[in-house]
Amino acid sequence: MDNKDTLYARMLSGDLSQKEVDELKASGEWEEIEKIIDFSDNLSLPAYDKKSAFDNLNASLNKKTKASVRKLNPVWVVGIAASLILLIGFFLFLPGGQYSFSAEYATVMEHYLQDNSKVIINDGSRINYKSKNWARNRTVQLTGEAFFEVEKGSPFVVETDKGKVEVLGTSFNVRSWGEALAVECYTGKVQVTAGDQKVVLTPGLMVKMKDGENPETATFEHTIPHWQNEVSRFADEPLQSVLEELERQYNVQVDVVKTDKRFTGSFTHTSLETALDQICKPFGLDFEITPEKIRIY
Amino acid sequence: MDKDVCEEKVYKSIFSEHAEKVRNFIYYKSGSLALAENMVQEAFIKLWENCAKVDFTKARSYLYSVANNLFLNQVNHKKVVLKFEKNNPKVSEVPSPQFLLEEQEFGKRLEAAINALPEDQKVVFLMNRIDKKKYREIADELNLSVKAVEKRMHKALSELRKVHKKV
Repeated sequence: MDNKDTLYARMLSGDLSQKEVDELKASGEWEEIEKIIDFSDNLSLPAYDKKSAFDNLNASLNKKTKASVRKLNPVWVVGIAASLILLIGFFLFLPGGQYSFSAEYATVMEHYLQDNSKVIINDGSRINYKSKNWARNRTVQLTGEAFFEVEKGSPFVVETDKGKVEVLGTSFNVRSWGEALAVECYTGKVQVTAGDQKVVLTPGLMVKMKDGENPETATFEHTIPHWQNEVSRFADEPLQSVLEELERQYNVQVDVVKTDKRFTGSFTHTSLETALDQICKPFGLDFEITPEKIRIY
Repeated sequence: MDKDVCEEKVYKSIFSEHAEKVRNFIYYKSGSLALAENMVQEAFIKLWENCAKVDFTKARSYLYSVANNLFLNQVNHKKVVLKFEKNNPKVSEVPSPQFLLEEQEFGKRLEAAINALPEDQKVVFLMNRIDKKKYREIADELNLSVKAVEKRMHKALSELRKVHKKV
């Protein structure tokens, strides 16, 4: 059994085999970890005044009971409704242990799955999964774009409406907006299936598939997805889908005449004006930002 | 027979057993004791309002997930700096000033390194070190497997081990 990834944790809980103990002692790790354990053993937080905390709690519970007899004040109702909406923005419990997480427009959300696999959901995107039997059936449905760091275990599957991505333990980015499915593999091995096309990716390789046909593979050198560096990058993509991405990133509305122009380049997520410059300049286009929308001409 | 959370005595016992630990949990994430204490109160109000629906055995994990959701709803997710108090370790001999100084230095660097840990590792590490919880308990409260908790703990300790090398 390969339990190296929990070694120090088990040292602390006294859950090591004799062989592991001997090895840790021989390498000097034992002493170093022990010192951290001893030191952190003496850390504490300021005392918590339980009694007065409970009295406060009691007081506000009593107030609530009385208040509920009165008519709900309209401002309150708005407050409650607003807080409900906020909650729903983060996650929904669905029947059968199903979870749904989404990142609102103009936000990025980090989420840990039960096995400590990490998903970073780009804005306007959503994932769904079932928590039941997660260890055996690790399947996530994705709408939009997300970055995954998968812990080793049973096959991990990301399903999109354009195809599915299957891995063992690795990190990779799936982008499923507009007409294409694009997958970048950062570590490990990734298999992408769309229609009857199958492509296996190794680190530094990416694939783009349109309508499940003609997979185009390419190499890349960045170590985290561009959108996590607050830029979006495009290689020969319709201007239309570039502007859709801009709308999601800045939560704005863009007005543009229908065009079949294609864009290669990037735009920043930190300044709308610079981003528009980056997109429009190459085409000699102008733009105008009004409170309601952005007009490109 | 299971205990009834709606019964005042039961409710109070849950409070006295878990309130402080839930407070610490939110403190690890937020770095604000005032906020953490507020959220404990909010979480316990929710527990009271839903006492008929929450099973006694589930009350603990219910509190942690409510507190966590309340925390997530705080829009300002800023970088946190935690402050700890130090209990005096028991020593049999009077240590040399040189030794004391080195220990003090080490403690400072370790605290800085704890603060620099990713939130998920920091929370697991401190729940174990400060609240003295077993991995099983942490796993229940965070809705994770024990193995996942151990992995986070291992990652945290590997990261903190680097403190030794920066002398």
